[in-house]
Amino acid sequence: MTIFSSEDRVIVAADTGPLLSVFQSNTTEFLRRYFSRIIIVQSQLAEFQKHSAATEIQSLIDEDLVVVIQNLTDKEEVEAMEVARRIVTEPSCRDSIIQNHLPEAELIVVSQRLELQCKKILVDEKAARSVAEALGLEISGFLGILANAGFDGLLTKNEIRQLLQGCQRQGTHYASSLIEHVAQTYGR
Amino acid sequence: MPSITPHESDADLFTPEDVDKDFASLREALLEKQIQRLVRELLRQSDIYATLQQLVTSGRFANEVEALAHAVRTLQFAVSMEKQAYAMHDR
Repeated sequence: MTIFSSEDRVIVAADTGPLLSVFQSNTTEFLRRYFSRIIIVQSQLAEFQKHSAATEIQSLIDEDLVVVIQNLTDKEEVEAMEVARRIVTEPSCRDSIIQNHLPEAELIVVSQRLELQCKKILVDEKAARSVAEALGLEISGFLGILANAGFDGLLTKNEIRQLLQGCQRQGTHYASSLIEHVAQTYGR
Repeated sequence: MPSITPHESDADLFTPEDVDKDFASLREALLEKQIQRLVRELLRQSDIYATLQQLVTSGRFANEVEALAHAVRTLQFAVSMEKQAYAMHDR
């Protein structure tokens, strides 16, 4: 177990999916533990609204943990459209409407701003992950956060099972064998 | 209150390797930040910094990293010996 101080927390950019999973599993404490700032983009707010998580994200914005980047430059908007196009061409992509991928595409572009000092981008959608990695970005996601919490002794094997089965019941289709892997490998 | 609905429709595609990679990726960032802080705090102590410079200048160590690594291993050895000594004393 490693003891991290609050000064060791890192800045990340986070796509909507990982944050929704955090809200579903009621594990926002791990966001506070590992991250000093979480960058999102304006267009994600509509997604949180759509997924009934507007109150939860607003609460994190109010406590200054989540920072919303309001505007993209013209160049960034062009780049984001290109990234969204690349996402829909990925074999794992299950939604071929380019506009539906603009929020994560904008986040991928914005996370590369040097002044934001983003260490990682949290993204769970396979297609977007592939594109982010191809662009040289370092990714992690909701399960990476849970695994770290387990490794740090904050979650037992059974707690990990329960949290992920809770997400399963709410519609996130993790394979049961995957849940068991996370619980067995990282749980206390 | 309506329940929060998931965003990803492809969670079934996630593999154990994905999780292990995600774990390692985040871990690396956290450890890097921690190590930066520890080194910064350590070298802020002027006597430690001066001693480290002397050790490197003496030629015993190739660089500061080697000297620090040696110091940590020596400390670990000393602590384990201390533990053994306490254990023997308690018997």
